[in-house]
Amino acid sequence: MPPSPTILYKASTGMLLIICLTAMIAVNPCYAQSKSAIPSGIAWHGVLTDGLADAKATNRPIMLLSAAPQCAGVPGMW
Amino acid sequence: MDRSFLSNDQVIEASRNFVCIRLATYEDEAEAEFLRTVYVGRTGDLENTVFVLMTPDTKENLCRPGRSPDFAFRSPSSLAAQMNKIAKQYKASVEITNPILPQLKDVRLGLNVSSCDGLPSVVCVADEKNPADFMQNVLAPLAYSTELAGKFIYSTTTDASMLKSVQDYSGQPGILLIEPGEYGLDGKLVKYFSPSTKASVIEKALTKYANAAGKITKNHSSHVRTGRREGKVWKTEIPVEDQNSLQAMQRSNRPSGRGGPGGRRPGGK
Repeated sequence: MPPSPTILYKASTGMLLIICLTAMIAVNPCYAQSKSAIPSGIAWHGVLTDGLADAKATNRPIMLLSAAPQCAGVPGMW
Repeated sequence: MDRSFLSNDQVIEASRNFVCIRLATYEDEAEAEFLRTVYVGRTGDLENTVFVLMTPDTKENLCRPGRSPDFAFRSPSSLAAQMNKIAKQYKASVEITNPILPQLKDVRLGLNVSSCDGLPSVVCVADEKNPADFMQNVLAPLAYSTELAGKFIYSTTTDASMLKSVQDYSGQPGILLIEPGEYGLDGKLVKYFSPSTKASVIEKALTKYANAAGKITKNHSSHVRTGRREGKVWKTEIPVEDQNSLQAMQRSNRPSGRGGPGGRRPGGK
């Protein structure tokens, strides 16, 4: 006996939902490269002695930040 | 690290009149000692993150030190306004003719920070015939230029073998443009410049790359979970002291299963 129209409708709706979810995951990966240009940012000295020498030589105030370049021991994430 | 403050356009603009220093916590004992004089948590331990504004001689804090800018400022715009106010009091005494390349202390850290920031890495590989100073002096003005400031992470080495994890790099001295790997433990050579390449050529290439490449973004929890599972481990130069970080590491080190990362509850499916 052929499947009823109701069963076919439910099956196609389910398939559509799966396709949509797959597409959402595909366009929202955990690791992605932005399509736009790299935005301007702060030019950070990464060595204390270099930064202090720069501040002394140019008499500019200092913005000091420190952060650990690992999270729970995993690199690649502040 | 508080990105909402440090990626704010007003703060970035205000930063041009400051010397900006971003250290890697737990990666240098002398720097850690200095940071302890700036800020420690209630337990007396050096915490993961530190933030402060200081006078050029570091003798006086110009805001309340803390873990992040929001310890002292309500919003990025209030930080920027305060920075602009401070900058007026400290007009640079000399014209900056010989800028110091803003770089990490070594290429291992450079690649990692590059990955953390989602930015490409520029590495000077020096040898006896091609001194680091020469290449750094070429790059330094570019690193502060309006077009390129804050878009690349710089480092230097005299040991090309430190870059053996960089795909397509032959080991020649010169300036390398590298796309960091997801965990900053490796990378891929994008472009090689011989040590004698003119600054204008490098500037053109870096500008072109910055305008085309885009910034890499990651999902924090997924990155850490996958990294732990794949054995991507970073060994710090000095022991981590931050109690929250230590607890997070202990949780991550638990075997999969009850309470472990991604583990199933007993009887769960």
